[in-house]
Amino acid sequence: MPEFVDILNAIVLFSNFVLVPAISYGAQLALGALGITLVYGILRFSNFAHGDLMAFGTMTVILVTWGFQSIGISFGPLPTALLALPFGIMGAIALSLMFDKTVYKFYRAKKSAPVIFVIVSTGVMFMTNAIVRFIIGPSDQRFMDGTKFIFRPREFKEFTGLSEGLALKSTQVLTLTVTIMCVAALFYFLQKTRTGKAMRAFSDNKDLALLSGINPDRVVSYHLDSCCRPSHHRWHFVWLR
Amino acid sequence: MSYLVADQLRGGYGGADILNGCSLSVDKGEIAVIVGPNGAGKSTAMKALLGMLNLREGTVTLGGKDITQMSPQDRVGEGIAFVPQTHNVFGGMTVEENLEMGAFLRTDDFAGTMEQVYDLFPILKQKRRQNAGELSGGQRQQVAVGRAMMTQPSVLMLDEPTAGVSPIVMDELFDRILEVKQQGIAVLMVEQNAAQALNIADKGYVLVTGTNKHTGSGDELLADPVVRRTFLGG
Ligand SMILES: Nc1ncnc2c1ncn2[C@@H]1O[C@H](COP(=O)(O)OP(=O)(O)O)[C@@H](O)[C@H]1O
Ligand SMILES: [Mg+2]
Repeated sequence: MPEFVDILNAIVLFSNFVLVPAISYGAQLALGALGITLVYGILRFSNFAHGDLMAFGTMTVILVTWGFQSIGISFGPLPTALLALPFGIMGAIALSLMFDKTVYKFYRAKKSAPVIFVIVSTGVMFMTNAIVRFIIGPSDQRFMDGTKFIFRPREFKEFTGLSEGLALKSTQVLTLTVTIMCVAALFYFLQKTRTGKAMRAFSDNKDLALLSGINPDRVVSYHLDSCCRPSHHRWHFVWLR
Repeated sequence: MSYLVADQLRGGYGGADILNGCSLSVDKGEIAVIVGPNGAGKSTAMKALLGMLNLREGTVTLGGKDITQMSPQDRVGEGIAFVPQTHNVFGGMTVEENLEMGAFLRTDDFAGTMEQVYDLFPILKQKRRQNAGELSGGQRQQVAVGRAMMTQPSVLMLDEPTAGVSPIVMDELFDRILEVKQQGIAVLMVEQNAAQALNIADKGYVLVTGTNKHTGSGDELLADPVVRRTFLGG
């Protein structure tokens, strides 16, 4: 018969290597999934470039973080990268709007079939990917600062007296917090705001939305800006790990 | 001259003309009903009035202003509201959200208009947090008419508002449409239930192959033996 403390140790071991990392990784995936679901749900558009848009946002955050670090700006115990987040958001919005104006608008005006949009988005994907590779490259980048651990395995062992340790990184807590905030904000946006409701109306019944005076061009841009918001956090935190 | 006038419309969907010189008009505080066999071009005439059809010939005027070249959205802004025959609600949105979307173009406070719609259709107030897609056919039609009323239109166009609803609900809907007319709105409606619709109509059009076959007041058409025999079933 295992002792009670053995069961506790097993739970801690499992949490340290599976549960905690899985929750934080799952939260990262959820952010990306949220963005791409929003695009498909509202515009019926399978955006293959979504992941690379996220990478672009992340790249912007990293570059701005390095900039901040080099001129001595920090965020105390929190990662400086958090301060750089708004710049990443703006970068991703700017890139999306640029591709919308220069590429997608042309096909929208031609009322192209959905499959054309999918193929076009693959092209956009390769372009975005090339830009990111050209500027920052595919290898790991270090930009981590602030307090790394909320508690370390050794501290946990000393505190609880168990023989297994548990680590909790500040990035894991941040990731989960940001995910919950994004999901809540997005839910609020779609359920409660006029623009959010218009976007739902457009995806629900396009013709009736047009008859109600809802303008699809506006839907696209609002939509773009709301979808790249969550998207880029994800990569940010993937890179932060 | 009537408030909304369509004169000698000709046009179709790219192939042969569907409308062959069809003329319609309706004034504020008046109900005009279009009846006719299936495929006569009734819905197509509605689309033409809304600017969703390429017309080869003919003009549409609203309050004396020529709107023939205007886009559908701009016509909505000018006060024409349209309730399509099918897919006329946002099924995944609540009744209240449907009404809000009807008022999308309005920048003023539309709470008063929403109250008016709820007064007109009390059942909608009761169901306002329910998804429109979960309502019965008759209730859905009320949502559709309510959504259109939210723009505070001067012209309300309805394409077969009573299709697929029971006779009792139909009478109920017609009563509501009479109330809408009393608010000084021009009502133009296509109906399959021809006899009942002509009963409440100030004006009726019998449309056959895109042309006006018979025109007259509702009572005149109901009394016309030819119209009775061919279109009203005796
Ligand atoms: N979107 C469309 N494209 C091509 N032809 C159409 C379209 N809609 C209707 N038609 C044709 O136009 C004619 C008139 O249709 P419609 O106006 O819907 O008739 P009604 O409403 O009087 O029953 C029919 O022959 C129909 O097949
Ligand atoms: Mg029809």
